[in-house]
Amino acid sequence: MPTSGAGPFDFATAFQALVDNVELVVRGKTEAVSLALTCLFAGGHLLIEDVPGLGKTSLARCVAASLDASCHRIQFTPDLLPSDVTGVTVYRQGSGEFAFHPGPVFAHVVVADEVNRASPKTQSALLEVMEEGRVTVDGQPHAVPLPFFVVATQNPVDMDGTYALPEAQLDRFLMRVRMGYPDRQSEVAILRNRRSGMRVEDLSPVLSTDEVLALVAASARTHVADTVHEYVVDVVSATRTLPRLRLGASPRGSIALLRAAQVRAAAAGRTFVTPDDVKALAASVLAHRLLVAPDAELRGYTAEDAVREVLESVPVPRSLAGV
Amino acid sequence: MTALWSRAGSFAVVTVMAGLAGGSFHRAFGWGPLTGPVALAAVVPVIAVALLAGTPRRRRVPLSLSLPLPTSLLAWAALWLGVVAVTLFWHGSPTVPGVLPAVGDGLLNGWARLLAVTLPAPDSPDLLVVPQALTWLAAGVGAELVARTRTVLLPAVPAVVVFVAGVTLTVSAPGSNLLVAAALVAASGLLILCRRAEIRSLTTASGRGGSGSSASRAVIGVVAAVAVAAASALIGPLLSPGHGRDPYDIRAHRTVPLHPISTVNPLDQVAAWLGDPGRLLFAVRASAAQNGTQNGTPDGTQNAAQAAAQNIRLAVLDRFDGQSWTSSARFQPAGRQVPAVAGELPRSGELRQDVEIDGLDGVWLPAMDRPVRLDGVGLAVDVDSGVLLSAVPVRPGRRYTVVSAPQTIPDATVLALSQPATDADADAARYLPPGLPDSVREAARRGSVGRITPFQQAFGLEQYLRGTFSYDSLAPAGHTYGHLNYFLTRSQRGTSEQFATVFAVAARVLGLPSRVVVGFAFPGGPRTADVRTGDVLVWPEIDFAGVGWLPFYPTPEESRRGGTEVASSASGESSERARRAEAAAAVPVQYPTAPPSAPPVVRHAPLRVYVGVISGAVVLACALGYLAVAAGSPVARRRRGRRARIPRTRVVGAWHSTHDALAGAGIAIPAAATPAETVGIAAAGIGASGRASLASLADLVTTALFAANGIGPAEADKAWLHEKQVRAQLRRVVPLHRRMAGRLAPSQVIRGRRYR
Repeated sequence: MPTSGAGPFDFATAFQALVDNVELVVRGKTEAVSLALTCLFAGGHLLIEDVPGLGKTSLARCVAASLDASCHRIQFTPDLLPSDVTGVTVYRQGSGEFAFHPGPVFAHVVVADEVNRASPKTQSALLEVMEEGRVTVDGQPHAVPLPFFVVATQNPVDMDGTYALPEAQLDRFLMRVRMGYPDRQSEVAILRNRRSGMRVEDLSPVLSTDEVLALVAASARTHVADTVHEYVVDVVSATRTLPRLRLGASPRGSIALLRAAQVRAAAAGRTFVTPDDVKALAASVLAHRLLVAPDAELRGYTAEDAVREVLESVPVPRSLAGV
Repeated sequence: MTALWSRAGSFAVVTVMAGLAGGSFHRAFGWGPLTGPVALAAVVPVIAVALLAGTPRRRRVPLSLSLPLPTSLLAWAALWLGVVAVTLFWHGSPTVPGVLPAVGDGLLNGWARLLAVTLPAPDSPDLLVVPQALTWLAAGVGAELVARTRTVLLPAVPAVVVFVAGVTLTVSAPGSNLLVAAALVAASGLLILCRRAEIRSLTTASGRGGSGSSASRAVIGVVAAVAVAAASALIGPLLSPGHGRDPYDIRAHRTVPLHPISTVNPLDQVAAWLGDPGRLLFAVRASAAQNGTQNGTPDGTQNAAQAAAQNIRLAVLDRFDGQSWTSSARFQPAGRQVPAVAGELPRSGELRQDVEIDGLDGVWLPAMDRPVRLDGVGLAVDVDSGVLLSAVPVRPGRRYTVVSAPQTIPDATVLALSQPATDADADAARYLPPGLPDSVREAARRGSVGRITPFQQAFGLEQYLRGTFSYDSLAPAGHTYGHLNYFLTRSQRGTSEQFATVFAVAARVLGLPSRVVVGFAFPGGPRTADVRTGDVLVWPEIDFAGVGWLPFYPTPEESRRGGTEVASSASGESSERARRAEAAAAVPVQYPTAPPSAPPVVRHAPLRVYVGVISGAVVLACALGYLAVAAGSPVARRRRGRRARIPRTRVVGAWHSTHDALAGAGIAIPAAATPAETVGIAAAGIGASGRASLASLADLVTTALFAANGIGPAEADKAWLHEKQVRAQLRRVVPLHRRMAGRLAPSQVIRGRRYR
């Protein structure tokens, strides 16, 4: 099977180096780490969801710490204002002019901790910057630095003091990753090393921002066969016709799935995307974009179940395109 | 051949197929009225589509009209509306006034009327619009499929669907669609040739090679065409009437019941008419039909003679509740012909009657027994009895023409030995409501005493009534149990109303299925005769198995007026019938009589043998064909995959061949499984060495399917080597019988088709 060639920006090597660096702190979560980094190199934003205490914030901080890039953390609270996120225009008495004072969103990596604890108004402050990479204050656009990677964490919506993220904002996250409880061995290791183990502050950056941008561009060149394009569309389209879903994935979901699959293929050292890449990422990329019908939800049916059902029903390409 | 010419050929074939499909309605309308509208409907949309679609393009164009959909639909509707308004509805419709309302009515209700009307149907625009619209649709959709897709046979599907619809709707009509079906098959073959030539031209022009399986596809197409032609040749004759069993007729479920409850019961009018015997009801011009041939050679001289003695029927009443006689007829819109009914003697000769209504009112229409062809507007018919009805109350001046086939009177022996019918309708015609007067029972006993066979008993009853009671045209009206009792025990005078109804009820006492017919004694004489109220005559009929309903004439001559003004049995009964009935009554039959042998039944042993042999041959051929396909198709696919010119195609062929082998060994691979997942699924069943080979093959096919490059001849050879190793491993671990069962499983055959 052909692999990506070696070079200063060998994608697979760089990706693995980043994974290894994050796993120095975040133990036993290789898949979650890989998904988070896939999201980074796909040019998307990451939503980490799970109950408190499972390392959501640690993962976000570790990813930020592994890059030689600016990193800001915003702790979302109910009284947080939109201007606390985007920045404000202030009057400078000395010069007699108004000047824009950038908010914490102006960083390469923005860790939005417990994003669903803020009010919907503040949550929506993230919408423009996540999609367009800029903030508009007083009619003036202000671009954020590239790469721009929002890592948001949230607690499950049924917990106290949370505001569910609107569908429009959920759709802007390329992936939603669930941390899950660590396995027994990993949890024992966490306890054993809690004194001597590495902390986030101990991590050293392994990639610069320029290298990240180069790797993003390299992954985007991963070959995608026409049959894989059709397969992605088939999968996403199937979510729109599933009876137990109230809302299927949007075309933005198709783009996100394909983009993430390209990164996964490149991270595996391949120069082309396979349906396996699509299948591996479908749940993380699509599930948070789906709305389960109330009756199905009452029976315990989840969006992940819907994605699994779709993947088991949509035939993979077995013939060459045009033959 | 260039793509342009090939496409033109495809358009032409689609036109012909649509025309043939619309022509399948010829059994309902005949070719004459159908040809023009159908031909136009087959040609115009194809030309329009051809102009809109332009020249063949190299890239596939989505299945959509060139114009935005709403605009296109509007344009198509307008074009069709214009054509159909000019060709069919220009002179209006008999159902709805105005051109546009008539078109809408025909489009919405035409198919329902076509299902209800007896066949052949009249060539009215509200019915012809059905085949016209279907043909238009078949031609338009077929042409769009030619222009917008690269499918080979799909453009033929609309025409085939319309053909099936035509056959289904007209299956009970005379004629056959076998030639049309054969022409459709031939046209399908032409379409395959044209489409393949066009696709080949386009593919060559766009630099893409063919799949290399054109020969096999052509062979499959020819085999399919031959199979369809053979099937139609075998099944077709069985669908045509007259081969021992009736074909399935969807129209049987679409009989339209009309209950003429609002009109006056004709039996109640008899007394009133007899009280004013000179009033003109209608005029009849009876003559021998010019081209009538039903079960015999037309004989104009004899028919004219028969016309003089043929009664005209107005209503047939077969249900009696003790108070009144009513009709159980189920009327349906009449076409140009009235289908024959089973269980009757063949009829010979035909009589044409041109009827013009004068003073007759109501909805019942007079006609001689039994109508076979009709010409008129708004006619309905009860197929069982042949009685005609008007959709609207008749008015003076109403004209229509009926061609009737008179009943054949059996010879004396057959008459004498005839047995009453025993079907469900006959059982209903034996029903006697509670409260039967003893006088009627006594009349039945007296009339049948000494008579042996059912016919002789009926004849005896007829003669008893005719000889015992008197005709009085001024007798009180009525035919309830009370009236009959009064007639039999007190007045002993009555009109044909009482004579006929007493006979019918007494016949039921004897177990004979009976009914009464209200009609008119046809005066005979000049060919054009006026039928007046005094000609009204009621007579009973008895249903005999294999013979049909036979009339009896129990009404004597009127003594008071000398029979000059009102009809009686003397004017209603033909001399031939009287002679044969008397002869039948005199046929010596021993008592108790042995059950007479049933009417000779024509056995269709040769047909059954033929059907059995053909069915067996078809089953055997199907079984052999299935075995050949099941055993041969994986081999053919494997050979095709191995010999592919492109290495990438060879690798995919090796993967498909491996899939065949796995499925044949009972290892089911879901369609949603990727090559890597396939390795995991099959791992347990093929052992470690087989797993390694399968994994290597999965890597190769993944690269072949999804990578931009990386597959050369060496990789293709490796793929087939791995395929061979997997097969060898499967042969070692899977028993032969399991592999054979897996290979012959239908799922395996169907799955193979999906890899094309």
